[in-house]
Amino acid sequence: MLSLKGVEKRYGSIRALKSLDLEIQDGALFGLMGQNGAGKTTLLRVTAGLLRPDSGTVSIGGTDVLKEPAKARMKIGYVPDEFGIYENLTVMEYMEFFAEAFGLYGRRARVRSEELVRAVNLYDRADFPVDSLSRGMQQRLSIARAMIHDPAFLVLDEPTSGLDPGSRFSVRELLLELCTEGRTILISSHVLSELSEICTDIGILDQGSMKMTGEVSSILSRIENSNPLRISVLNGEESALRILRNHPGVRSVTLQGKVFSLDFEGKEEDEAGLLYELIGNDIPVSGFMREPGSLESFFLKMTGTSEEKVILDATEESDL
Amino acid sequence: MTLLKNPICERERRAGARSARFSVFILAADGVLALIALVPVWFILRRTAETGTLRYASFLTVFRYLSWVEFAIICAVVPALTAGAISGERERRTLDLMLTTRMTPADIVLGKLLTVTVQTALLVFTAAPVFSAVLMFGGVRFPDLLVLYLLLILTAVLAGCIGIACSAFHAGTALSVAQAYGAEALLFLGPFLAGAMIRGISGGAGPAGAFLPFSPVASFSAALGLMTGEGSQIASLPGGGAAGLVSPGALVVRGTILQLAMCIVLTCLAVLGTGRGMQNKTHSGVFMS
Repeated sequence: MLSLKGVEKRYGSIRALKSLDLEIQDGALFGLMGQNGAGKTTLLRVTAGLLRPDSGTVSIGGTDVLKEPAKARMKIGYVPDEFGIYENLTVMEYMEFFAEAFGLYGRRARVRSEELVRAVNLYDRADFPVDSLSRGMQQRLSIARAMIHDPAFLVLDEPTSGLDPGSRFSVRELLLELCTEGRTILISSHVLSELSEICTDIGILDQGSMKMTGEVSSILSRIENSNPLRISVLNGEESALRILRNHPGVRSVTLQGKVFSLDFEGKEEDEAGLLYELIGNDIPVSGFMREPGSLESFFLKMTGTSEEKVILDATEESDL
Repeated sequence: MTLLKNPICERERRAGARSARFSVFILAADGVLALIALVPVWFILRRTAETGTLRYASFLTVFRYLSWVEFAIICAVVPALTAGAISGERERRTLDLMLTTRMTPADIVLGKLLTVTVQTALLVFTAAPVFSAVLMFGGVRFPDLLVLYLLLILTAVLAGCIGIACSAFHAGTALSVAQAYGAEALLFLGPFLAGAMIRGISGGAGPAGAFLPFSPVASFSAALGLMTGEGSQIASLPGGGAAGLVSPGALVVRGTILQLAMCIVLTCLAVLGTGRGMQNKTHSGVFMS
C-alpha cells in the first residue's frame, strides 16, 4: 500500500529524514515509534502529501504522491496530531464541509456524513457545535472526517495523545475496526504499549532513520529470546553457579541473593535442558523464567535511550 | 472544483449567519452613512424652505462625502476581514486538513476572496437607499451610481487581495493584519507621496502623476469628479498636481486595469503562500518531528 524509497527531508541544516525506505503492506496496522524529534510527524506529513521531500519517492497504492497529488489525496485520510476546529459549525456541518471538499454535494454529502457520525458514536451530538465536544469525541470526529471519502489508507499522528483512558480505548477499538474492514493504517505514537496492543507491524524511527521494521509478533518473540533468564533457588547457590558457568548456552551469570540472572542463548528446549540439569543435581529451583519482553525495552535498546525518559513520557500520557 | 461549488463560501456563510458581528457592522456602517446623508439633506431642505432656492450642488457635495466615507469604511474593514483568512486556518490547524482534500490552494484563496467580495457587495448595496435619498433631486445618473458601486467593490477586492496575500505568508494573524494595513496604506497613498517627492525634486517639472493610476484613491476621486461634474480633487492633494498628465477618464480606466492586474498578482501570491506548507515548511512554520 505505502512505499517510501530514499526519502530525504531537510529543514535547513537539520536532516529530518535520512534516505528513508519503508514498505507497508495492504491491510497492515503499522505503528511508527520514535522519540520526540525522531521525524515521525515529518514522515507522516510527507506521506500525506503535505510536505515535499527533498529527494526520494512516495507512492500509495501505486500512485506517486509527488507526481499525482490529487489522485493520491483521494486514497489517504489524514488525522493530524491536533484537531482543527471551526467555531460555529455543528458536527454534521463540519462533516458536510469536508464531504464537499472531496466533491460530495447535497444528499450524498449528508448521507455519508451521517453514516460516519453514527459509526463513531457521535450521532446524538450531530447538532452540537464542534468546539463543545470533549477531546475524545473530537478525535473520533477527526477520524470520521478522514474517512469521508472512503480512503484505503489512513495516516494518524498521535491519535490518542492527551485522551483519557476511556477515550483511548474507544479510539483504539475504532482503529481496529477500520483495519478489520481492510484499510491500511499508519499510526504514530510514543506510547509503546499501545502500539504493541493494536499494531500488526511496527517501525522504529530514530533521528530520521528507520532503525527497524517488522511484525509485532516476531519482534516480541525476538525480544523474549534476548531477555535475561531468571532462576531462583532455595539453597545450593555454589553448586548451581558451577553448573551454570559450565553450560554452553550461558554467556554470563550474575547472582543477587538467591536469584541468578543469566544471559542465555538458546531455544526453549535448551532452557528446559538447563532446568533438568539443575534439578538433576538436587538444586531446589523455586523459579525459572525468561523476563517478559516489552516493546519499551526493545525500543530503548534500539535507540539507546535512557529508561527514565520513556517511563516519564508514558507517565505524562497516562496523567492526561 | 468550481468557484460556485466552493465549500469555503458555504462554510463562511453558515458560520457568519450564526454570529451577529457582521450584521451589527452593516447596521453601524449604514447608520453612519445615513447620519452623514440625512442631516445635511435636512439642513439643505430647511434652507430651501427659508430662501425658496434649492442648491442642487449641495446634494452632489453630500453624495461626494458619502462616497468617500463608504470608500474609507471599505479600506478600513476589508483588510481586517481577509488578513486572517489563511493565517487563521493555520492557527486553527485546519489548513492542513483542507490541503489533504480535493481543494487546491487556489480553491481556498478564491473561496475566501469570494466570501469577502459578497460581504462587501452586501455592505455597498445595503447603503443604496441612503445614496438614493441624497440623489432624489437628481445630479448623478443611475449608470454612474453603478460605476461607483463597481469601483467600491473593486477597491474592496484589491484590499481583500492585499489582506489575503499577507495572510498566506504568515502563521500569525496579528502580524498579517499589521502588514496588510501597511501594504494598503503604501499602495493607496504611496503614489501621492511619490508624486510629491518627484515634484519637490524636479521643481514641479517632473511627471509627478505618473504613479497615480496605481492608487485606487486617485481613480476613485477621478471617477467621482466625472460623475458629479465637480472635477477631480486630486490636484489639491500633495503629489496630485501633475494629475493633468492624464485625463480623469483615462485615470479611471488605467487605474481600474492596474487594480485588476494587482488583484491577479496578489491572488497568485496568496495561492503560492497558501501552498507553501506543502513545499518546505510545516503548518506552524517551525520544524516539527
